[in-house]
Amino acid sequence: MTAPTRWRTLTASVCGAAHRRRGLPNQDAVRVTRCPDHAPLILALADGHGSAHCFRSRCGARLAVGVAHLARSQLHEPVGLSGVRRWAEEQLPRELVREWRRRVERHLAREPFTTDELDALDTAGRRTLAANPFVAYGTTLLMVIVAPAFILYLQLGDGDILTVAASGAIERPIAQDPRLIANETTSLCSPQAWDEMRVTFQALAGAPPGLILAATDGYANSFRDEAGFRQVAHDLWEMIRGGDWAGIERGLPDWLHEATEQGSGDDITVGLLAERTDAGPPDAAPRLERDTDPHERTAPTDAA
Amino acid sequence: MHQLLPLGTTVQSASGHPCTVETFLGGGGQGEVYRANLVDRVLALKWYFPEQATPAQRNNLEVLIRKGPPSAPFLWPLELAAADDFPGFGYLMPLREPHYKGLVDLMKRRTEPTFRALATAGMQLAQAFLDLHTQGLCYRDISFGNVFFDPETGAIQVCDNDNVAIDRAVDSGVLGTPRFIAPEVVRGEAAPSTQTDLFSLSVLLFYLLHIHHPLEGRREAEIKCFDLPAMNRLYGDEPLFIFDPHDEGNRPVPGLHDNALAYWPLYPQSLRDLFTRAFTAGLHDPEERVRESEWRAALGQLRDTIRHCEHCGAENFHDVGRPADEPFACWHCDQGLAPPLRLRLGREQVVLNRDTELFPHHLDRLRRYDFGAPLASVQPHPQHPQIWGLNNRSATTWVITTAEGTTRDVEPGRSLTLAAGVKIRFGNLEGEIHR
Repeated sequence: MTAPTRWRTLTASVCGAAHRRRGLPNQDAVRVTRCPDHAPLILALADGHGSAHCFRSRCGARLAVGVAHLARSQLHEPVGLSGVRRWAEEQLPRELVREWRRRVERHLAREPFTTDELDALDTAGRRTLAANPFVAYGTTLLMVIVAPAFILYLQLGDGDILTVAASGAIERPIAQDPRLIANETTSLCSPQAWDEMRVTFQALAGAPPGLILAATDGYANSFRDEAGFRQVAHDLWEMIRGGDWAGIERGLPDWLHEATEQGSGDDITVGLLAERTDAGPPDAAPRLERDTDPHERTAPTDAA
Repeated sequence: MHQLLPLGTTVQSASGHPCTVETFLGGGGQGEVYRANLVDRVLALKWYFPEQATPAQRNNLEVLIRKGPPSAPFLWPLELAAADDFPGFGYLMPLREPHYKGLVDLMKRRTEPTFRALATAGMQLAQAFLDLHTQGLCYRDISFGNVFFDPETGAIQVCDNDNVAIDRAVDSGVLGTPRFIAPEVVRGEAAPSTQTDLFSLSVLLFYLLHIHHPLEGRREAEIKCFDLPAMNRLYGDEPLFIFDPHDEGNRPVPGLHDNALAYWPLYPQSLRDLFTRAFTAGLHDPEERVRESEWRAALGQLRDTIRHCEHCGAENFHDVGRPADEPFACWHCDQGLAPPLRLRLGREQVVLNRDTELFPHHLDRLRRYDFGAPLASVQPHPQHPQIWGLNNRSATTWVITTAEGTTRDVEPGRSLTLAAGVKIRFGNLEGEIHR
């Protein structure tokens, strides 16, 4: 089995072409949490909804990737794989949603809605917000947790996770939700949002996936079809197999810019987790990493 | 996602037949499950991860296979399987039918069964536990993932039975999280047994009817970090029922535990009393736990007290313990409901809805819990659809006595008009319609 410190990570986030044209910021967020002593590696991505009602969704997305590291608290415990799976399916979604709501409440207490923010809404929007102020912070959440004995994939709302096996076979560990069409998405701000979170548990008996790609929906939406999006995962895997991780680090922001310009126009954030295939130097001292600023940059987070 | 057996692999069943792996169905903490073909019979094949494929697991499986399933709902291990090219072993079992849904589907609202289906599922679950326990077996580790139900009928299937063990076996290990385990097991003071299974059964039934855990209220909401010590406190050291009548310290929190708050008041007091006993006295004293047969009877009665709102059609429960003159409003549309017509059969009552069927369970004391072919059903009059009757679908002639005192026979295939005061002799059992 493969210790998490044997994984290297890379994240990149670009502001959507359509957002730039309208002077809007990147409303995605991404964070990698790498913990000491072979504890799990956590990749979290969030896509703030960005609609008129969700005027603080950039903040909501950043809060969302911030709560993802909560998952560490119990993954150290010797509850066995069955126990981890049950906890992930039954408890973790509730904990993540609840903590996100706590943090939103704290933020809102510090910074109540301003007159400008509220004046920009129509009557229906103000009514929606009065009933559920979390809507202003609405965001999706994608998470991948890699531990020595298992991988957990979690998804609330749209976005995509692909895995590439050593054989090159590409799979979606979380099946696409047929309800998520035409910009409709489940969200952390939904009532009982934990019920909407989809979880896949994968115990690691043999080789783990060679590459895990997680992306906000702006990336897949930039391609004509699923095959085009899967081709990206395939191409990245070929580069990794060819030892060209540095090439991915250099090229990823440009590729994402190109995708949003010619494709969705939406913000695009990508997180890559790849098993180290080279002997490489020993891993550096493990560290808990901070948020990656979701602006126009890549964040190589290779621990080695 | 599967890692243990490539699709198309052939493994050998213990009886010497080749079994071909067709598709990957899912993975868990112990192994992976595949759809497999054994001599033109489609089955499920579970293959263990190497570290789980222990001699103890194999021995346990051999015992279970020898004993056979306690009853039909158990998707029981049929035979062991092995392969020359792959380490470890697996076992074959019947395949779960695809229209069966899990409790996780219920929790996530991917299925919205009727109360009748849920009550039936609960009754069948209690029966399944009774069947298991009378074989000297206990579940040890039942949870959400083990129980599936047909949302139309409430029929259940119990999966992943490879962790079933002989009651009070010394080496029985606890595999899961504490949420479904009796407090004394969580605290490490007792081994899993039929007594601790009774607690798990109560939790499952509460979950089935409330889509919520009976111990998760304010105390759970106040936990900042849901780690193992916190779970042990909640489910083992300091468990407190969310509706404990003498301690309000763990009440459901609006916004977080809305299901519990919404569903609890809908059920008849007698059922709420049973849950209260299970999660107050039964939390601390295993002898006080509600027996499988008590749950079975209570849920059978619950099924018979369902009445449809005449305004909106929503299912409501007629509480037989409630005074007849006490106003009652539909939980869904809030309009007042008159007491429904009921058939009193001894100490039990069956609400006579437009779709009510009576089974041997109701009309034959020697065939309790037989819900096979119905013996009677409520039907409209063929010429006057506003008049409703009870159709005799049995092979026995009934004798009725009207409120005015006249008697007549109701032959098989014939009906009697539903009216308060009518007495019906169904063979050796008499019932009376009343409001």
